[in-house]
Amino acid sequence: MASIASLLTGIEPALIAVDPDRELVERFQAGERSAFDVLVRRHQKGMWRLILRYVKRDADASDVAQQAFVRAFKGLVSFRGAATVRSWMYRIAINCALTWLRDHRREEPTEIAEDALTEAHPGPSALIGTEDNARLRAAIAQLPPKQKLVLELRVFDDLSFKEVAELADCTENTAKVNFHYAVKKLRDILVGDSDG
Amino acid sequence: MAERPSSELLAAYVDGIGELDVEERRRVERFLSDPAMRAEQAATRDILDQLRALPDETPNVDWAAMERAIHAEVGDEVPKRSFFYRWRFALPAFALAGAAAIVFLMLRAQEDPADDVSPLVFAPNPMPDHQPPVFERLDDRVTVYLDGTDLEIAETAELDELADLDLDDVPVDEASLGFLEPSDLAWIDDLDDDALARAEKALARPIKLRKGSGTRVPREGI
Repeated sequence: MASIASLLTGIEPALIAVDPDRELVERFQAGERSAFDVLVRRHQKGMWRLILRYVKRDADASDVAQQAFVRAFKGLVSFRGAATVRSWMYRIAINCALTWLRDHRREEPTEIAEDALTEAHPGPSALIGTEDNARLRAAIAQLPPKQKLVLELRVFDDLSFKEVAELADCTENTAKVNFHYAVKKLRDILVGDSDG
Repeated sequence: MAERPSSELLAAYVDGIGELDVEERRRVERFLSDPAMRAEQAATRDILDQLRALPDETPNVDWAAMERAIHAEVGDEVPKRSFFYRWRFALPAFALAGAAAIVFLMLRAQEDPADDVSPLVFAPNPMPDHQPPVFERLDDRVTVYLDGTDLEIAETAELDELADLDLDDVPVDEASLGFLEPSDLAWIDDLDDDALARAEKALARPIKLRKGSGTRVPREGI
C-alpha cells in the first residue's frame, strides 16, 4: 500500500490529476462552440462567488462574471494548458473584478482594501443558517485575509493547493501552510466562543 | 532551505493527502506518532467536515439568464487562432537564426580588409607609355617668405617631379648661374594677350589669410 502511495505521490501531483475541463477546451479549439457552454455551466457559480468577494453586490458580480466569460471565450483558443482550465478562468475573473473595482472606485463609498478579496460577504443568507453555521461563518470572517482566501478557495471552491497557490499568488507550500493555520485559528475561535 | 515543522502541513495532509509529496507525507506521519497530535488530526478533520457541510449561501441567481447573455455577447462563431499562434514555437528559432546572421555579418565586417585582397598578380601595365603618371599630394604645403609675409604655397605634382630631376644634366648659363636677371624683364614684352590676361586674372584673385602669420594662395594662382 505504501509503495503504491509512494509511486503515486512521487510524481508531480498536478500531472496525476487530470483536468476535467481539458477535453472541453480541445473540443472548443477544434471548433465546437457548445463546449464553451458546458464550461460556463460548470464554472459560472464558482466564478460568480469568487467575484462577489471583490465587488460585494450580487448584480455587479453577475456583470463582472459575464465579462470574465466573454474574455475567457476570446482567449480559450490560445489556452496552452500551463494551468488547469478552472484556475485560468478564475484568474480571468479576478482580473476582471480588479478592473471593475478600479473603474468604480469613486462610486464605492467604503474604501476598497487590498485584501478586499477576503472580506466577508454580508449576504443575507449568512444569518439564516443554524446557530452553529452562523458561528462558523463568523469565525471565518475573523481569519486573516490570506488564510481566509486560502481556506475559502480550498473548501468552498474545491481547488487544489496548486490552483489555490496560483490564485493567491504564493507557492504551493505556502498555501498548504496557510490552510493549516486557517483551520487551526478557526478551531481556536470556536473553542473560545464555546468557553465564553 | 530549512525544513518546516511537520505540523504546519497537518491540515493539508488531512484534506488532501494526494497533494503532498513523499517527503511531506513522511514528515507529517512521523509527527503523528504522538497521540496528542493524532487527536489534533481528528479535530482538524472534524472542522473541515463542518466547513464542507455549510449550506450554500449563494443567493438565487438566474444562471440560465447569465448563460444566455454570455452566449448572445460572444456569438456562435468560435474565434480563430491568429496566424502567429501556429508559428509560436518556430518564432524563437527564427529570432535566433536572425540574430546569428546579424552577428555573423558584423564579424565579417570587422575582419581586416587586407584579408579580402586578392593575391598580387604581375600583369602588364595597362596604361599607355606616353601618358605621364599623375601625382597628387593634398597636404603638400610650402611656406615661403615674401615681402615680409609668410605665404603658404601648395606644391604641385610637377614640382615634385622637378625635385626628383637630376639637375646635373641641365645646361647652366654660367653668367647668371641659372637665375633670372632681376633687371631683365624684357620677356614680359614677349607675352601675348592671352598670357597677360591669365596673369592679371591670377593676380586679381583674392588671397586668403591663414590663421597665423602666413597667407594661403590658391594652387592655380602660382
